[in-house]
Amino acid sequence: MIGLRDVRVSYGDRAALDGVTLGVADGEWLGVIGPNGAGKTTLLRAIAGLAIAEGTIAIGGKPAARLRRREHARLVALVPQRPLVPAGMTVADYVLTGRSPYIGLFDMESRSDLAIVAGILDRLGIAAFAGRALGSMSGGEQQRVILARALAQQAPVLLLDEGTSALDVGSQQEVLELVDGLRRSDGLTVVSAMHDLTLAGLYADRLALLAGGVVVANGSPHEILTEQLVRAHYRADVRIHRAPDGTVAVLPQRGGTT
Amino acid sequence: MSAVAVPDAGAGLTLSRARLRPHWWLAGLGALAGAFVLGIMVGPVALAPGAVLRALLDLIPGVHLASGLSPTESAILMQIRLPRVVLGGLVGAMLSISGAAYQGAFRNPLADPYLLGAAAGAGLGATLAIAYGGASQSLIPVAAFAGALAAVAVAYAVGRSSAGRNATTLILAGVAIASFLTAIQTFVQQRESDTLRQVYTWILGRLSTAGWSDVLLVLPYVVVSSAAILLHRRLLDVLSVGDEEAESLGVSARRVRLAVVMAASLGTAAAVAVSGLIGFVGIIVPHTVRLLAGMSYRSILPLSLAGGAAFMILADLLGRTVVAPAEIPIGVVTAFFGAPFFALALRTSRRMLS
Repeated sequence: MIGLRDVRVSYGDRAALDGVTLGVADGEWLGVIGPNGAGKTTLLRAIAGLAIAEGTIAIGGKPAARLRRREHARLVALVPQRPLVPAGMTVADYVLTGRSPYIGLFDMESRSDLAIVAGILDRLGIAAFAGRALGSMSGGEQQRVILARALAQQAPVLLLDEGTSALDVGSQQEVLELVDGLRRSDGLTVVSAMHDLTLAGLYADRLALLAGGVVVANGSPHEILTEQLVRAHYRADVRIHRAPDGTVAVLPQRGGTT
Repeated sequence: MSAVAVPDAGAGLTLSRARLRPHWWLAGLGALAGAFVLGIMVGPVALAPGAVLRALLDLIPGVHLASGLSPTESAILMQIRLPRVVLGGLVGAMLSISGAAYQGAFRNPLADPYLLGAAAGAGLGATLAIAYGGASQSLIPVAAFAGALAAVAVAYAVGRSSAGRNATTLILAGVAIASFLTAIQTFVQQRESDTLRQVYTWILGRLSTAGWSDVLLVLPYVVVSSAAILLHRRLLDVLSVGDEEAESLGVSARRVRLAVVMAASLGTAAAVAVSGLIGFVGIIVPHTVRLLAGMSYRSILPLSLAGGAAFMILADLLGRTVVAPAEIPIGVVTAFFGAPFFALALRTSRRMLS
């Protein structure tokens, strides 16, 4: 579904992505992990067509460089890290902006746009909030609304940029479960940048560990979530606990960094 | 604002898209009509309402009615009050919708139609025309128009070429250009001090000399600019979720901003050229509309148009009646009556929200 070959993105002199080659299969969930500044957000922005990238990025077999902005938005939906939340806007109006890639420049939303958004609000359990202002909602509720806007794009690829980091554990799980459900029912391809390694291992099929703008390891959560790799790249002291059911828990330890 | 129908059990919900609700349509048109009637009926000479109505109907092509107004009364209505009310309405509408457009394009509630240096540019243009243009009064609006447009164009060019390329750099460029032009204007005024009074009067804004020629001058700009801004009403809603997110939704924030800013600046320049610098309208009217009718530009823009026209007509009415036969400059009136009204609107809305 997504193919990146030798992708480089620079901000001024600093290379944020320094030659990333990576593929994501249809319906796969790729977790992108790595320390702060490793390039996780830049990787997602590049896939979303928001960063000026060298190298080739293909989405659904088409070179992204040749996609028009609207076509790109029909293929890839991004849930950004720190979205601007216009406090006075209603939930319904906000989610409706997700239909933009399908609406002619000076046209208005059609009945089918409204029906699609109504269905998504229903599905995410926020239909009752449709008329409420975004500013009056809790962080967890807002996160669902932002996810709803991305889903309104009806794109086969969903990018989540640490969308859950500011949420409590329950809200985090809720959102990730929702995404997983959608992936299974609708065949979405998911790429998520995540800070919580345990959650990353729980939900992603595969993990790519980024450091310094390159992919330093790429494989199943079992292969990637090891004490050596985490210690080497996060400079964190952790113990990896592997439960009999196959889940991998990454437990921070005291004792100072090495 | 979206209306949400309460769904039948299990039937899912029905949404309606943001739009101007009928009662706000009526309120906007009602305010405009009310202001128009007051504007042409109130004045030192009383005119019979029936005769005025007949005289207005007589203006419609194909309708011929004898108004019964004396020639003097007819001249007062047709040559003094009517052009003044129409011009005030056009200028108020243009400044308000431009303010709303700027606020949307820059996602900045403090943006006003003069944000990118239009006021300073117009001021300098008018000053130069007054100081060096000889006796010709007709040069002033042309010079003001050219000055306003040139200032915005330079601000845009400077703001765009900087590394940031975002809304904030554009605003900063506007501030810099405005200071620069104001400095030149002050210098010219200092050198040609006998022009001070005329320049000052111009800056305070006036509708007192309004004639049909002014109306014809500004009308095409108001129509074209307002139409262009209104076309972008949904895109301005999309822009409110942020530049990068608009891009990820397939909308080029930069292109929308450029188009909206161009339209608003063109209209503002035309309005400033005929009426001088009338402040506060572009902020107070859109914000009052927001407080009343919600945050969607689909209601803010059309209601600002109607509300701005009504507000300006009424402000002008106050300006010419309160200390009659003298007049208070319109710019003073808009701020003097606008600010308290706005404070009141802010308070009521807070009570409504809490």
